[in-house]
Amino acid sequence: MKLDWRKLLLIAILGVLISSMCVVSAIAQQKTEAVPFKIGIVTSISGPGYGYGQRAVVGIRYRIEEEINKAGGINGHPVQLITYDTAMRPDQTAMLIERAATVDKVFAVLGPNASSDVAAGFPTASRLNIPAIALGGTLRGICEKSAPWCFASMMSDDFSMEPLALLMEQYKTKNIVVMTDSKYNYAVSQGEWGYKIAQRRGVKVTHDKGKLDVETGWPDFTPQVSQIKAMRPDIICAILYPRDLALLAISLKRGGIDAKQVPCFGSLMVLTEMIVAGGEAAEGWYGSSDFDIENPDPVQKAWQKKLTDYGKSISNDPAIYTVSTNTACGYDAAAFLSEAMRVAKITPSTPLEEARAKIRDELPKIKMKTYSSNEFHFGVGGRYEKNRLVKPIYLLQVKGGKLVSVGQVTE
Amino acid sequence: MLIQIINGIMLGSLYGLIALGYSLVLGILRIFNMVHAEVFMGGAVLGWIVMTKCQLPFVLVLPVVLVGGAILGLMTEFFCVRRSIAVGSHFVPIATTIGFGLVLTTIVSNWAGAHPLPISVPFQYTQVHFGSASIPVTNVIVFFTSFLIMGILAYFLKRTELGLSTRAVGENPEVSQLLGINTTRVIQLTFMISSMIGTLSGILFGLMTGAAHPYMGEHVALKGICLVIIGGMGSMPGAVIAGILGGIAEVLTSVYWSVKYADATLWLIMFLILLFRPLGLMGKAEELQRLQ
Repeated sequence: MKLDWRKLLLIAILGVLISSMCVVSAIAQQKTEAVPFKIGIVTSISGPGYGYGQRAVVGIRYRIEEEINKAGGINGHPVQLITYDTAMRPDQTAMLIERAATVDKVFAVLGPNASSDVAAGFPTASRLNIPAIALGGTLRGICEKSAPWCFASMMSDDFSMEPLALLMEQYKTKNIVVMTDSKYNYAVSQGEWGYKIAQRRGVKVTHDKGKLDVETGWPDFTPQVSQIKAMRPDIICAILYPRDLALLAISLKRGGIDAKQVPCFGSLMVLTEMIVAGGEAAEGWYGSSDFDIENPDPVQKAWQKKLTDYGKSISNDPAIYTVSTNTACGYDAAAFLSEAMRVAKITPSTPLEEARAKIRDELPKIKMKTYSSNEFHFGVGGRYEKNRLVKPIYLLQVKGGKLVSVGQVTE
Repeated sequence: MLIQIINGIMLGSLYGLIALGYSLVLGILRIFNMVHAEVFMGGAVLGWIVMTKCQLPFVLVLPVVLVGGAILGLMTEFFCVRRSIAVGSHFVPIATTIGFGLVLTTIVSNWAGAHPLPISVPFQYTQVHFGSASIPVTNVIVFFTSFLIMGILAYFLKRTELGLSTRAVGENPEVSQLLGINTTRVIQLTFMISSMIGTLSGILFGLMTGAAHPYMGEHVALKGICLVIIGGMGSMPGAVIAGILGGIAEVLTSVYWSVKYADATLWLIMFLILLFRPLGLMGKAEELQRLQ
């Protein structure tokens, strides 16, 4: 059979043309689809602490997806968020940070949030040389120990307890009882600060240290309430998880101790979950927060509305969409991280080690207004812990089922 | 001290009721019903649904909780136990009831969330005064209701034909069947009664603490088994007494020593009792023989 060289030539030319089109198309596609930055969120999405983690994720996602990515990303590249659920298990946390850093090769980690998770996760982040901004982790000194790689967007336990001093002043307190959850280190830490504040102000603690302590899940507070009644304190300070705080509040009220008559202070744990579960018994309880939900600041009000609407679009659980300190801390962490990446001029093609080191170096230099008119920055040491965001602390009170600011501590 | 002993007795009456539910199934069917703790949780959640979510009157709680308990009991018998008993296995139901319990907890926690579900009643903040001391009226109601339920159960088992049939099946199922007793119906009834006791305990606990939550069963699961062993395996009076002693021990330990040791105290008591009285407080050798 004679080969028709014209047909062969035509087939060859067509083949070259098709191949060229494919190559050009692939190159064009690569140019239009910008490679994203990968950022890991390591927090409690499930389990008893799901509310803290989920609220922080709302704040992070809003900043990254609604504000950063829709405006063109960081240095022209979008951010891809990868979420890891710690379920508030410290053993899980360290492993997840390791996975995020070494397997998924994220540029930085946002999280963890629970103090016990942060205590477990920060050494891992430090060892792996990956920047991590905790969304909680209120133990004083935890950032300094893991500097320069680790940061936190929530104020520390010593500041969280300072509003107790305001209460003592207001009520001319002579004696106090302190009940903590001995199972969790955040509660033990805050309880310690409670004892120190009482000592500093010359207020008597009416029991041996730790005498009133309980453990998470303690079923019936009636015996403890009987003890408290016998002690006749001027203030009751209880650092328990919101669930247990609600049960304690109910038990106190049933035992004849009304929070509207005897001030009850629950620090950071007086949250929506506590108010919903405690109902009438939660009225009058005092708490503290580095976020004042009723702040009249118009910038914060506008931000709160946007975040609430965004949260409602994700979930109909009020424990998730109600804007709180966790939402604000998530938002702040994402804002500072993205700004550090922008200023450092890194791109997804920047070598990972170099990019992470640049983020680590830029973060402490940033001062910015995020969700409010206040400008935040990371502390440099001393009174304001190194690598922890400096924010005012508010004294809040439950009034009409809502948390209302009734005082503020700035020093 | 006196007020704390009273607090302990109040809590113990509820523990006695929970242990009774375990003991009933163990005594009649020689099975550890591990879903009892989740049934207990189910009762509290049903109470929340009736009183808080649906805003229905408090009097409707009892029929709802009893019906709910009966249904859960029948489900437990059908899905977890029937086939195993038919082939003579008394160990497989331990695993199947654990699994069923996990399923129940997962369903409830995904539907209701992990935070407490408030249980409000009009009189929840009323107190009963004893001299200078006072006790919440809810605790007093729980105490008397627990003993009322125990009394009704005792009457049922000792004085009614159905109760006697139940005990007969527990003694010897084969002979009972030969005598014309429908053993399948009796087994179903046993699970129904045990689960109704479980759901009632749950709502009483919810009333006492003011809330229900999906993981509340975890607190009583192992505790109930410990109390059954302390009281004597298969002995219902023993379970009640162990419950009360357990409540007192837990409260006194938490108040005069530390809450951290409250659970451990119960297990220590169990070890000590078994050391000196291996059958438990009111256990009998022939009863233990029958259970093996």
